[in-house]
Amino acid sequence: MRKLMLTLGVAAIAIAAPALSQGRGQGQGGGGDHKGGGRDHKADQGQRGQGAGHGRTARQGGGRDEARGGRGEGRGAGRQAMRHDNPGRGRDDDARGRGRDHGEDRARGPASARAKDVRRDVRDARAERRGRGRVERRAVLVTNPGNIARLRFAPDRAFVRGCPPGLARKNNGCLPPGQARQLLAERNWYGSWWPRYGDGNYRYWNGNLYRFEPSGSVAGFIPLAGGALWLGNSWPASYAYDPVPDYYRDYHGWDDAYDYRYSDGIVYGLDPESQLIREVSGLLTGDDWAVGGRMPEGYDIYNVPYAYRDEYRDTPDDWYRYSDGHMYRVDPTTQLIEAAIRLIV
Amino acid sequence: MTKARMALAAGLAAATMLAGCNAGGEEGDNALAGGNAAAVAEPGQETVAAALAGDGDLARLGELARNAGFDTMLGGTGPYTVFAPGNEAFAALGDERTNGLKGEAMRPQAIALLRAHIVPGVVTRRDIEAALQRRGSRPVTMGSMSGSPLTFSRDGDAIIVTGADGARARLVEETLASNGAIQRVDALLVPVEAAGR
Repeated sequence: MRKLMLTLGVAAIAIAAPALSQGRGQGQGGGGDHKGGGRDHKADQGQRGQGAGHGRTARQGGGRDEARGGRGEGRGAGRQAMRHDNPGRGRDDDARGRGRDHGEDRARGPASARAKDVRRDVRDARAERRGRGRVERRAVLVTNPGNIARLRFAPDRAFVRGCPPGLARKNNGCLPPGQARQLLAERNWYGSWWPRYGDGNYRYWNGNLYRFEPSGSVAGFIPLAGGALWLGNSWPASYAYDPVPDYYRDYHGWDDAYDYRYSDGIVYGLDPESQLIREVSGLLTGDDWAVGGRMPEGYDIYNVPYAYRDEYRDTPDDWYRYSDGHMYRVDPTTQLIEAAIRLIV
Repeated sequence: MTKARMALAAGLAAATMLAGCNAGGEEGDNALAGGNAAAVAEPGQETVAAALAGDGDLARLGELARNAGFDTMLGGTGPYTVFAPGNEAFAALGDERTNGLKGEAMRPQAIALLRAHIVPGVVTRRDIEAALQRRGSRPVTMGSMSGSPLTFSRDGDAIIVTGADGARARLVEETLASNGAIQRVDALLVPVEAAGR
């Protein structure tokens, strides 16, 4: 049984790696550092994955060393494998071998040519995705961590120095006469309900969280979800945001009709014409999961989605954790992040 | 929807651990060494949003979630786990402040409260039990969507969850939804007193 699991695991690995490359254009052939892929997980439809291959068995097969020594970009083979992707049909050797060959060829090409290829691949992937109408939900090990689309929480970006639109800077900052004094005199019932912003004297007023200097003047403000950032409002002109990568949109199934912006742990959907906020689309941790780095704090508990629990269980050798549309494999002893796993292709 | 009272969940967890220990081979190794052989959980049919809306005991939280525009998110792919204070938990805020959270003027506060009670992924009671067992019942933490940690510990048979500012609640009941989980708790996990700054 264990041998069978190993065999299936390797097969899933070989199929999964090129499939990844189809989406990002930089997949790597010959991957062996996989913890076992899955077959057609459809978490959102309640269908259980049938993937085989356990992380431990793959490691025992020596795949990790092979992967480190033989990485190459297998974009071409990846696309080929994607078209014929039929898990469990024994295409593993073929896909893996060609992936490595193409990767070696591409690695010798000029950098500018490679960059153009990547851009073209992204456009192709989007077009193909729209044509398919839905993404394929299955776990795929990320062989090039640089391809992980991550949105990080950056507290500095949430804070806006200066005054909100419509309020001019006065002696006390941005607030109407007497307002600052009144706010500071009130009981601060909710000041600790926004813990992300760190120490400081924060008071809520009229859709924004104001930070006061010790002198009592306003240092700046944070537009808040539900206040300044709410349905029907324009995005505050001075407020930074990150565009949301396709991976997140595809994973969450966020509708393409909106422009999506991420800020302060929340994704908003905006009308592309009017640029008005139309939807609170999702919450993200924004935690920093860098392969090779230490697992962020706050993940002591196994939290893997239902569809992947059969295959990605915690063991004495490996933990698996979910965060923002990805799973990560962590060394329980060192707490170092060993691998990232995409959940869609 | 899969719903399990606390006592039942604890019994199942214990039985599963016992089975894991007796199984031998890989499964037994996993359970003995603090792995989670009991990881597999059967999701229910309803989404977190639907389960919140359909549970009268969670009506107050459900209303806040709807007012906050979280329906789409909690009805989507997720997964999210909500540590959901029951209606009785809002008594600590008082009626005036609780009703205030439903209004437009305090929607940011309502969203802040909700974020402090949501964690990423699917977290079952068994998962918390397994993490505590692995740590020898020392506390374990899970980061909430507000950025502050929730800390879990044992008090006899009960599991206690503590917010960053010391607000404590007991896990009461578990609902496994299709896109996450709801862990009902008996108190709010944010401070209900005024901040001292």
